[in-house]
Amino acid sequence: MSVTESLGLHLDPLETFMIEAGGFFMVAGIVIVVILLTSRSLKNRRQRVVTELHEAFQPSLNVMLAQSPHEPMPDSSQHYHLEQLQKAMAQDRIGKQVMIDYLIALKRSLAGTATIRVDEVYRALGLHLYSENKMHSRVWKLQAQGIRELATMKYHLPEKLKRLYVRARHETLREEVFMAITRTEQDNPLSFLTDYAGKISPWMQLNLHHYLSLMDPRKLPDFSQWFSHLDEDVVIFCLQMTAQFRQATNVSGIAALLEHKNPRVVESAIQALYNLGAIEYANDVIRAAERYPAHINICLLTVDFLELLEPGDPRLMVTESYLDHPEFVVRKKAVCNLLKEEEYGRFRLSLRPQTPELQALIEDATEPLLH
Amino acid sequence: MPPNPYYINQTVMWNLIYTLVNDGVLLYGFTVAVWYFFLAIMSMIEMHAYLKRNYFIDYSYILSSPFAPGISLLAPAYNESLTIIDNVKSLLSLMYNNYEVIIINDGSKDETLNKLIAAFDLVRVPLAYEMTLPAKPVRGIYKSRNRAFRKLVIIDKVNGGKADALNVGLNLANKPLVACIDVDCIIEPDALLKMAKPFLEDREVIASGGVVRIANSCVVEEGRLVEVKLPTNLLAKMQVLEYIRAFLLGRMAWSKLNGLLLISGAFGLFRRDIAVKSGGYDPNTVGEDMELVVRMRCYMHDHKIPYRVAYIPDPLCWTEAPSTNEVLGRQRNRWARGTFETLRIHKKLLFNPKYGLMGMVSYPFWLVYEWASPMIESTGLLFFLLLVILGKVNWLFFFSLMLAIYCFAFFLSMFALLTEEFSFYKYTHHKDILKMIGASLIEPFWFHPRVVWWSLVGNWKLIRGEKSWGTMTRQGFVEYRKNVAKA
Repeated sequence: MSVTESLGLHLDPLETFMIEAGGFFMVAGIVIVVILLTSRSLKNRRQRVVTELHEAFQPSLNVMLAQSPHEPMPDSSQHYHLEQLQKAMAQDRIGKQVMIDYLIALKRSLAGTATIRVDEVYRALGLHLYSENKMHSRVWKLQAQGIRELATMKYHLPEKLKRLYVRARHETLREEVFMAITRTEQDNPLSFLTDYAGKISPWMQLNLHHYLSLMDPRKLPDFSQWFSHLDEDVVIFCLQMTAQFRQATNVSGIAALLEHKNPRVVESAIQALYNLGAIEYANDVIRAAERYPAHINICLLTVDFLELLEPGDPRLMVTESYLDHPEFVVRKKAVCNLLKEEEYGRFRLSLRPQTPELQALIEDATEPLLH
Repeated sequence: MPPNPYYINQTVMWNLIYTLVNDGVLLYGFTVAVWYFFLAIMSMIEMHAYLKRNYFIDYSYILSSPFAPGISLLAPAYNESLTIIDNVKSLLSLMYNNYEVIIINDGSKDETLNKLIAAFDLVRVPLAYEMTLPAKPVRGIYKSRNRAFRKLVIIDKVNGGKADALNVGLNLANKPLVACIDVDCIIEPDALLKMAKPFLEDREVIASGGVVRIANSCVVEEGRLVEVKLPTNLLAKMQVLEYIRAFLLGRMAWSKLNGLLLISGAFGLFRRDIAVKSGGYDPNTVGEDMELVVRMRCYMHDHKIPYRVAYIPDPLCWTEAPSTNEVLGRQRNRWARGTFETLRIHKKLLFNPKYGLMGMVSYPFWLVYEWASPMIESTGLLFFLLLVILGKVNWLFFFSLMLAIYCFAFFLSMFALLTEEFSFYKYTHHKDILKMIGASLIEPFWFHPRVVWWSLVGNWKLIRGEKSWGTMTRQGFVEYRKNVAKA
């Protein structure tokens, strides 16, 4: 006899279903409440453990990281502090992970030789083996975490695993390896690009640029080697890097890309030539822009590029042609750039019909607070 | 004696109505539960994936990068003199390099403009612009003489409503992305970094929305949120629970399905070119935020351009929730009107396969489970009262139905709190979790009926042709700071 029958209630199937469903959701709700309360107490406990571990790590780390490069610490003292740290970590997973997180946080906030010492402590404690082990995990997040830790501590990824992960299907994992290679392989930081057939999102470009900008500029690769890459995202990335790192010797390669069929590549090529001040390619830029009269970005970049010309250069007439462009932003940019050479610009603009729009654009361009 | 045909007809008719309403409401309730359960599970999975994906992200790289996309922050202001200076200072101190702040004074009748002029040393400038989107005339454009405020542009225009003000902002915006915000909201310092990331990850993203949270009782200093607290006011507390449920459970799943129709007007980031090409904000609706998203999506479908509307579950924007029945009622009836107006404007979407998932799933869901829900609920309630009067209630059935609904509502709230606990964990005080559990237990009786009533009022006002926004009285965060100081 069911509970409801024992209460003298005779339920039809629908009522039974609803009561059972209600019961299920109530029990599920109560289970969640228990999880919530347990989670709160676990979080507090974990926080306490982390604080205690940090306090235990602090004295030895302070001594080890603060040593002067001219007066290295005696080996015995070094061993003593490493032993103290090992003891504090207690060789369990939580201890090791807290130590790694702590070292990473320290590395971010330190500069100079102290950061090298952080790397040394990481290796001396054998934590690189712990990070490497994560790369063998089945969980991609752990794999990515391992890669990130090794890269932060400037530890080269094992060659076999690196080759494996460069072709990983998981996007985040793949990107982590790219960034790790860029960070750790100073001699060839973009080695993965050559065989890479996928996309490089602007987000990835931004990250790679960040790590490249931290490198010794003399060790930066020649980005023009990837100008003929099959993937247009890679080409665009390399064009942008050429401009950012001012590899002026590559301008002829950049100019050749003005003929590219993808307008995004052409846009990046004009931008790169402008950033590098490659005025000798003005005719090529003008020809390329003529192919894309409705492409706003290409028009705007061309107007910017023409700004590099000397006053009186007959090619400045091209800028004037943009005064009749259908897009307001292009017309505005053209007026603004013409007026940068104020006398010449005012003269040229005075030859045009004085429409209210032109007057407004001239006022805008000559207002210092707006530019 | 032959049976009376009139009596037979009446009985048949009654049975027909009874079956239709009874089974209809029951079926509706069942499908609502299935849908919400499905969305909750899907949101949980997506949230888990999002947190894992973003575990390693260092947003500071965007801050220092020359490749970060430019953002124009558009903030309409109407009679905001009480808090405008703090709010603008807060917007000017966001962590992002390439951005401008455009405050649109929408014909304020108070001292909003004068206070801005005095505080930021503003002068009128002859900025040239094109009125691509039609809007009420601009009276003047101001820039600061102080280089520290060079990111700030103030536009003074004739009053035309929020949508009209945003259209002026869209016309004048100089950057490829525009963030439309409520000026009285508190934006997290890293909000723009997080909102810009989807645009960097995927070139097909045309808009991204963020989570809005309730700031009542939180500690705010210098326009920055310094401590998150659960509101002391019960009405606001209920809204905390409601917002967590809506933002963490509903929208996360719709984003995964690429069927998100609503990005909150309090904080959304859009591609300017698409927003302008699709016609900008519609000043004739009070639900302009949802309407713009739907129109941008329609534009992309009509032009067969692949696109995505992204969603960031991080709490990026904090707003003051109405803490009185009167103000909350006005807000909710406006939301009801806005929803219906948007659905009416875009009625061509309904079960239109040309618009993909938006036409086949999102739009019908909004129509049936969001807009029509209060009407169906109240029909069920009226029918129940009729049955009570006629003495035809099956009480056992009634109580089992109520039990199922109540338990499901409780479960859903707990599920939302669980998602919050394992994701952003903003309410860290021990008692907060107990208070929210308590609130979820009384919510179905205490708060939900009011929301249904206000939605009905909203729809009634719509039928009567009312278009106004209604006054939103706010306490202002400055008050909170004073209260904290007193404490």
